[in-house]
Amino acid sequence: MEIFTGEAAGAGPPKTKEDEQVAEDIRYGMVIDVRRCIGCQSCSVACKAEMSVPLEVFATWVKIVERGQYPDAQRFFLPRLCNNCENAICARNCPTKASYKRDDGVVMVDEHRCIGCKYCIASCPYDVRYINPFKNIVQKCYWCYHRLDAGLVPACVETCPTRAMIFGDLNDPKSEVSRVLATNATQVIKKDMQTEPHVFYIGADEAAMSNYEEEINYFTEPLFFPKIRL
Amino acid sequence: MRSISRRDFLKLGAASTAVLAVESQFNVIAYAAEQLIEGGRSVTRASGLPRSFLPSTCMQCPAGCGIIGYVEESRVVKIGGNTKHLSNQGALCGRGQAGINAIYDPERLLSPMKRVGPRGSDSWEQISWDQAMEEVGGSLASLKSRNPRQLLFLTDDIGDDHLGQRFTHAFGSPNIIASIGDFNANKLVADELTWGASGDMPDVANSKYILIFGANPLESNPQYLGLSRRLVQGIRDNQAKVVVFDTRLTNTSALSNELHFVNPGSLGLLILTLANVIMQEGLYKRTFIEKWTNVTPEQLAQHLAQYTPERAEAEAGVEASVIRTVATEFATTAPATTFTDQVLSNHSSGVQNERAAMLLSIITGNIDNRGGLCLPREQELAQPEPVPAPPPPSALSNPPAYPLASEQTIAGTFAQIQSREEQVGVLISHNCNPAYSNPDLGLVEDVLKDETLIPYHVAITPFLTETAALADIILPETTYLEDSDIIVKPSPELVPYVSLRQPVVPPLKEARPFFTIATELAAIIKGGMEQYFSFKRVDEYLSARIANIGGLQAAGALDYLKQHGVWYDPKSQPDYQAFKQNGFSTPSGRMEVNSERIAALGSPALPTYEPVTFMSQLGEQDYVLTIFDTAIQSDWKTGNCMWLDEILHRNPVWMNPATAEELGVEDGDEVKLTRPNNVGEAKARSVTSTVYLTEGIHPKVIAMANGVGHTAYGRIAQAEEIPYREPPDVLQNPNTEMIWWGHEEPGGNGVNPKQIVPVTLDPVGGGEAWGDMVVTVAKV
Repeated sequence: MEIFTGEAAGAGPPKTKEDEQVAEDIRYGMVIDVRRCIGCQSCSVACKAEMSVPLEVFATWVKIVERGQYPDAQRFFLPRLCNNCENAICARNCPTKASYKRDDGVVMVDEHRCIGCKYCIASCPYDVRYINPFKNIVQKCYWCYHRLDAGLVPACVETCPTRAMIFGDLNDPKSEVSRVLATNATQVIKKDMQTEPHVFYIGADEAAMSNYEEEINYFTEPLFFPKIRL
Repeated sequence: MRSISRRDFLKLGAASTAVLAVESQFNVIAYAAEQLIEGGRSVTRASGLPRSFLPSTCMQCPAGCGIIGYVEESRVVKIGGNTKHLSNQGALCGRGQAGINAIYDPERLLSPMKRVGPRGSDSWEQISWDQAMEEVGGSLASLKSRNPRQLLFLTDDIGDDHLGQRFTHAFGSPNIIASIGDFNANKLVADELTWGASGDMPDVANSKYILIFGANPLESNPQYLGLSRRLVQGIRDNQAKVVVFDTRLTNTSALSNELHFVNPGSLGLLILTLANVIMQEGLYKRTFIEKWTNVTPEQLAQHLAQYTPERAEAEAGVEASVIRTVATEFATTAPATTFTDQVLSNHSSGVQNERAAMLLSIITGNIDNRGGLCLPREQELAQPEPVPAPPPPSALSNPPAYPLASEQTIAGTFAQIQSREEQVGVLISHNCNPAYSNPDLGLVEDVLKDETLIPYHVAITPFLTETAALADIILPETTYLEDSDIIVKPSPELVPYVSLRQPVVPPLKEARPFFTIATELAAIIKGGMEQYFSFKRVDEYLSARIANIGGLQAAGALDYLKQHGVWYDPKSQPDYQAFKQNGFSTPSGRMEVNSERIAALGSPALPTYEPVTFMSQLGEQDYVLTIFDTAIQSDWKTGNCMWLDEILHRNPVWMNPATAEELGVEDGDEVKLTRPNNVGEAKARSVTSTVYLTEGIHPKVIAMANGVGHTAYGRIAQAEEIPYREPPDVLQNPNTEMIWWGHEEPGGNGVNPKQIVPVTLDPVGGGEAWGDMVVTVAKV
C-alpha cells in the first residue's frame, strides 16, 4: 500500500541508540516544493488563526506572480514566511535583545523586550516582520514554536492541502526534510545576502524570487491578485 | 526555553504513522493533527496548555471536509482538518479555517427579529422565541389547513438539508428548491442521460493524461480539497500530463503542462473535434463502444466528421496541429480522463457540451476504470420512519419545460413566481441567499419585496444576508459549528464515507439549531405533521439516518462518529467498473450516447455543437464576461469572514492589455459593463468597476471574481463604517475596527456582476447559462 507520507516532523525510520544520542541537537528547517503549490492561501489563513495575526499584516502568505505575454502567460506561486536565518541580521541588530535565536534555529521576538523601534524590520532583507497594530511591537513567523515544543509541525505545514511544505530537523540525516534536501536542487531567497535561510525552495520561479518590491505588509491590492511583471 | 527531545518527537511521529498505516487504504496526508484523536494533544500558544477538540464537518463550501474544532474556555479558537476524513485527509483550506470568523461574526443574529418598517427597510424589533414561534407556527398552521402546497422552502443544497426536505414534504408541499443545484445543473442532466448517475468523479490521482475543459479544480470545485489534492498527486507523483483548454489563466493551468486559449463559447466544438480526430485516426476502443454504448463506431465517425480540425482552428482559435496532437496523446495514453465542471456546462448548450466531453472518455474506454472518468460514489443514508410521501410535483418543484432536470434549481424560480405560475403562501429561506446568488438580482428583490407574491417570508439564518434583509421575521439558527447533521458527499477516493457534523461548542446565546426549530414548528403546526418530527433528541434522528450502514453499526454507530468524525469501510477498495456486472442505470443498460430522451425535447440525439449566436459573432465592442469562483470565497457564504475578505474583497475587471488598448483604457481606469439588447433581460443593465490588466486572458473575454460586492450581510462583507448593533461580549473582536479596504475606496468591496445577468436556461438541462454573458465595455 502506498502512503503519501506517513511521517510527522523529525520522524524517520525506526530509531536507534545513535538517534537518541543526538536528541538535543535539533536544527529546524523547511522545504517548500513550489511545484506542488496551488496558491490557495490556506497557509496564510492558518497562520492568522494559530498566531492571532491581526488584519493589516501577514506572517505567511503566497506571493502570486504572472509573467510572459498572451498566449504564453504563466503564473507562479511563492509561499513566503520568515526564513529563520542562520545568520539572523535582524536579531543581531536588535538594540534591546528582544530578537534572538533559539538553539533549534527559530528566530524569536520577546514581546516584553521589544520597543517597536523597527531596526529589525529595516535589517530584514525579506519583508517578513511587521508591527502588530494592537501591541505596537514587532512580530513575525516563529514556525509555531509552541507547536514544535509539543511535537507538532507548524500550522501552515499541517494544513497545506497538497503537502507543498515539508518541515523537520536538518541535523537528522534521516528526517524527510534532510532526505528531500539531499536529493533535490534547492533555492533560497537572496542567497547573496549570506543570511543562510532555513527555508529552502524547490522549483521556484527565479524572477518571482528576485523581484522584490512586494511590500506585503503595506497593502494596496488584495493578496489574491497576481503581481504582474511583463 | 522549553524543548522536546528527539525521543518524544519520534514517539509521536511513529505512533501516528503506525495508526494510519493500519487503518487507511489511502494516500493519507499524515502531517496533520495526526495524534489528536488518538489521545495526543494540541496546545495553545499563550499557555502551551492542551486544548480540547472535537471532530465535525465543514459547511463553508459544498465539499463537506472533515474538520477538528479546537476549543478553549467554550470558545472555538481554531479549526483544522481531520486526518481521518477521506476527502481532505487532514488538510483544510482557508475558507474552512475562517469558519471562526463566521461563528463570531460581530453582527451575527442571536435573537429572533421581526420587521417593523416596510420590507427591506432594515427596521427590526427584537422579539422572544416564544413570540417568534407563535407567529411563524401560526402562519404555517393556517397555510397548512388552507393550501399546504403554497409553502416554498429555499435552501442551498437539498443533499445537505434533508431535514428541510422532510419538513417541506411532511407539511404537504413539493416545493423545496436548492440554489446550489444550479451550480452544475446542466452537467448533472448530461451525466444522468448518458450513464444513469448524476455527476462524475475523475480519478485524477491515478491518471496519466488529464484533459481539462474550462474547469479550475485547484481553485473551485464542489469537491474542492479532495479533488485538488488528488489532482496534484496525479501531476507530481504519478507524472500525469495535464492539458487545459480555457479562456483564462488559472491556478489549475498554472500547474498544467499546456494551456491552450480557446475562443469563448467554443469549447463544445473543440471537444467534438478532438473526438472526431480519435475516430478518424482509428484510435478508439471498438469493443468498448460496441459493448457498452448504444451507437456503433461507424455511426459516431460519420456524425463527427463535420468537426474538422480546420473548422475548429477557424472557429475555436486552436491550431489544427495542436488538436491532432492532443487527440492522439489522449487516445494513446492510458489511463486518461477528462475533467469538466460548471464552466463547460453553464451555457444554453450546456447539456450538449457536457455530453460531448463524456464522449472523449467513452470512445477511449476510460469509463469507471482506475485513472479514468469514474461514476460518483456516495454513501446512501436511511430515511427515518415514518417517511413523508413526496407530494405531487408543482410547476415550481418540477418546471414542466424542463422534465429532465434532476434537482430542482432556483435560477428560474423567481421569474415563475413573478409571472404567478404558482402562488406562494409562505416562503422559508434556510441557509441560502438567492438575493446575492441568483441571476437578475433586481427580479429577485422585486419578488421578495412584493407582498402579493410572497405574503410571508421567514428567514432561518444566523446572518442578516441580502435575502434575510427582505424577510418578515428572522429565526436565528446556529452556525454549522454549533449544529448536528449526517453529511455524505461523492467520495474523491471512490470509497463512500459518512461524516458527522456535531456542535463543537454549544449554541451561542439564543441561537437554535435547525433541528430544534423544525421540531418545535412541527409540534405547533400539527395537522399530522408532528409524527414526522417525534424525535426526542437530535441523536435519535442522526442514529436513524445511519441505521442502514452495517459496517458503521458494527463499529459503534453514532458513538463512533462522535469520536472520529467520519466512517468508511477500512477494507474497502474502489469497485472499478462494476457496470461490467450490472450494466448502467440507463433505460438500455448501456451508455446512451444516442439519447432518445434528449431528442424528444428537440435537441440532437448525438452530442452536437450548438453555437450561441451572439457569442460566436461578437461585435467589436462586445466581450464575454466570465464570473469566476476562487479558492478564497464560496459564493455568498464566506462574505462575512474577515480573513478571507482581506485576501479577496474586490473584483476589478480582468482584461488583456490588447483589449485595453482597443478600448483606450489603462490599469485602474473605471469602466462600465453594459448588457447589449440581444442578450436577454435583467432589471440592472450595467455595472461599473475598474480595469485590472493581465496577460492571462483571451482578448475577447473579461473576467470578474464572484464572492464579493455584498450589499447586505454586515459591515465586514460590505467593508462599511455603517452603524451596527453593539455586539455582545462573546462577539467582540478588535479586528473588526481594522478593516483596511474601505467601501468608498476605488473598487471598495467590489460589485456583484450577477445583477446584470439575465435568467437564461439551457432548454434541456434547465440550468442557468452563466457563461453566455456578453457585455459592451466603455470607459467611464
